[in-house]
Amino acid sequence: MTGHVVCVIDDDVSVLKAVSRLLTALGYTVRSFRSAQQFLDRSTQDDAELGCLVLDVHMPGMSGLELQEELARTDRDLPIVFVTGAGDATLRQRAFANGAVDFLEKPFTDAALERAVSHALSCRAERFA
Amino acid sequence: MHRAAERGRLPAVAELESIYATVPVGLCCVDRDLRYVSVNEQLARYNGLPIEAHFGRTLREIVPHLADTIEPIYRRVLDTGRPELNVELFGSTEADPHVVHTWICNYSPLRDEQGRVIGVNTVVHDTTDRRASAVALDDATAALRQRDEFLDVIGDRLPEAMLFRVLHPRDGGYTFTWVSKGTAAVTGLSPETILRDPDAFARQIVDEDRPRFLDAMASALRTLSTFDHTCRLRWPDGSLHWCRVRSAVRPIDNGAVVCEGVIINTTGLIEAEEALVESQDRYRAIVSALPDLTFLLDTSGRYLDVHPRESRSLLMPPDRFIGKHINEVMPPDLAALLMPCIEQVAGGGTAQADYPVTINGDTRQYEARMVPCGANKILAVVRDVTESKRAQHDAERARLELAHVTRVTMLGEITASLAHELNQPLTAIVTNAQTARRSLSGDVVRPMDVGALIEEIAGAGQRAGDIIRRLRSWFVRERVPPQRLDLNEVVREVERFLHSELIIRQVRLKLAGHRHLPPVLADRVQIQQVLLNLALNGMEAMHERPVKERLLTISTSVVDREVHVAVRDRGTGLAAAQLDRLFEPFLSTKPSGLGVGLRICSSIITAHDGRIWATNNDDDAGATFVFTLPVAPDRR
Repeated sequence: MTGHVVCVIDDDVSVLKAVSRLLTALGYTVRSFRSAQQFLDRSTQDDAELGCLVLDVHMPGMSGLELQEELARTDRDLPIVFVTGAGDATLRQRAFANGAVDFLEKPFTDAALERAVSHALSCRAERFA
Repeated sequence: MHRAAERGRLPAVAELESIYATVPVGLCCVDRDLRYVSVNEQLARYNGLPIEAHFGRTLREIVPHLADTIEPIYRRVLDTGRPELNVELFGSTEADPHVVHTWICNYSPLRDEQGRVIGVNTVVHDTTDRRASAVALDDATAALRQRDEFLDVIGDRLPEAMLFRVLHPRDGGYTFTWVSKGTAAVTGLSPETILRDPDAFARQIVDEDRPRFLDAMASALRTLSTFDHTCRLRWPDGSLHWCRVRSAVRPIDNGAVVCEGVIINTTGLIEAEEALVESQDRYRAIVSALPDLTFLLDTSGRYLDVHPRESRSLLMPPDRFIGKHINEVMPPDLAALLMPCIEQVAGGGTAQADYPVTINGDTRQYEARMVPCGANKILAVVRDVTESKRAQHDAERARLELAHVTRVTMLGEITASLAHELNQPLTAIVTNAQTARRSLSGDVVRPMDVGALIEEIAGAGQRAGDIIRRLRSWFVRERVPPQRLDLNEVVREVERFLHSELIIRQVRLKLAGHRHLPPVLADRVQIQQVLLNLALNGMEAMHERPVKERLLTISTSVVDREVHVAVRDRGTGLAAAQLDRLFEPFLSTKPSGLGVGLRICSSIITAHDGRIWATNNDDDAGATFVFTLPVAPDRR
């Protein structure tokens, strides 16, 4: 099955673990990354298993938005659900302008995350189709 | 002797004898056989034999020790008929064998009526004692000469003084018979002038002083008493000098009087005395003008003098202090505080003490400073510092208030990052709780271990609590006593505080802490505030920079018993005009308005005895703000 893996990228370990556990409980296959750079290092461009990203906006080093731009630049078309601890309208607009699927403010409900991830994966499936 | 006269052979001797009967001169007459014809008592005493024992006996029999010496003399006189005068003989006699005597002898021929030499008349004068006194006289003369030389030596070396000897003969007038060389420094005259012209000195005395001087001198000469007089001299160059003449008067032979002594130029002494009086006057004026209480104490703590500005500022009237000991007049707790200060000053140091005193129900704050004052005295200046303490306290309160306000304002500036920081543990809590709930209700595909989730929740809750606690300490308004702080630790605390802000602003923070940083004594929150303020300023300055260049470095170091903390940014740097006015109040160098913060930083650091400054970095990229704090004293 292609495009089913959810990649969670967050610099905060407790958040990373919590989100990964929730998505796992919900039945998703999850891979966790502590930074945008770690994701770039450990994933390959032609990995068909990757379904979507649950991506933190504010991270040391490369931010979530920069990773989004980097992926666009290298033609990696992965749907992105942004999560942020500090809501900022400008960043939100920029994320959506660059094709984000959703933009969740921390803390979010399980339902909101489930809906957003589900939506993202369906987007991915459409693009594959 | 009368027997010889009776014999009538030697009438000349009898005459001589009558002349010299009472004179201590030895006389004798010998005949051509050198046998004694007559001897007077004095000579018999020299020879140690009765007069009668001499008659008919030879010189050799009577004075065997001298015979070899004198027989040739007698024979010469008998042969030549010429006298031998002033012959000096040395030797001892039978009468006094252990003493070497000296005699002066005159030998004259004795002639009969026909002029034939029939014997020798001898006059013997024992000069032993006189010779001893001549030697003593020589010694005395030498000693006198030495004494005069000694006087010369002393006199010539006396600074601003001269020695003199004046002879006042019986018939009036006087002359300087000796002066030491330093006359010019006292009288403005050369020694030669004074020796040549006795009145030269008296003419120098100013007209107003001269009669009194001359009267005093006349009186001293008359009564042979010590003369001690001070008068003014007008030197040949016109300058005015004080001199003091002190001399002893003693009579010498012929009714003359000698006046010997010293004349001292006392101008300098008198000026010094006037200066002393003036400085004492000045001291009194200063003391009376001081808005302070001044006390003079001895080193045991007894009051010697008290100068209150107004007596109601004292516990009791000033005269009740004098002669009393601190323990007698001060409340016991105050005396116990002041005595160690007294001891410290008595040991040569200085001391300071702050204490409250309640007078008539009004409690006021005093500050006493004590310093040594001459030998064995202590000057204590006590100042009423109630008002200045109050003002100081008010200023401190205002400063703390402003620091608090700016701290709160600064937190407002970083609300977004504080929310971010708190949202992280909250998200973990909420998400884990939801996973746990759904796992328990079977609403998931893969139930999770609820125990592990609850542990995560507890951990995240703790973390949120830490953040809140940290924040709360920032809202503290009260002054807390300074603590011993490791500034590296304070830097790390600020780093935690800035964690989210750095991420949001995309600034890298590099810490370069000195490895063995000595502690400082400071208010933790206030120093955190300074660091946070400087860090935020630095981050703000790099706002326009590309993300990769946004590097903030906080380093610590030790320089000369001071800890330095430097916050270095890679921002736009500061304009020269800004550098000068950076720490003035209400100057904002940036739009977001943290400018007042630098003024607060400055007041905080100054209150901690530190310094703060800013410089542009040498490589034209950004600025460095540095503050210093003194290393805390060693813990006892």
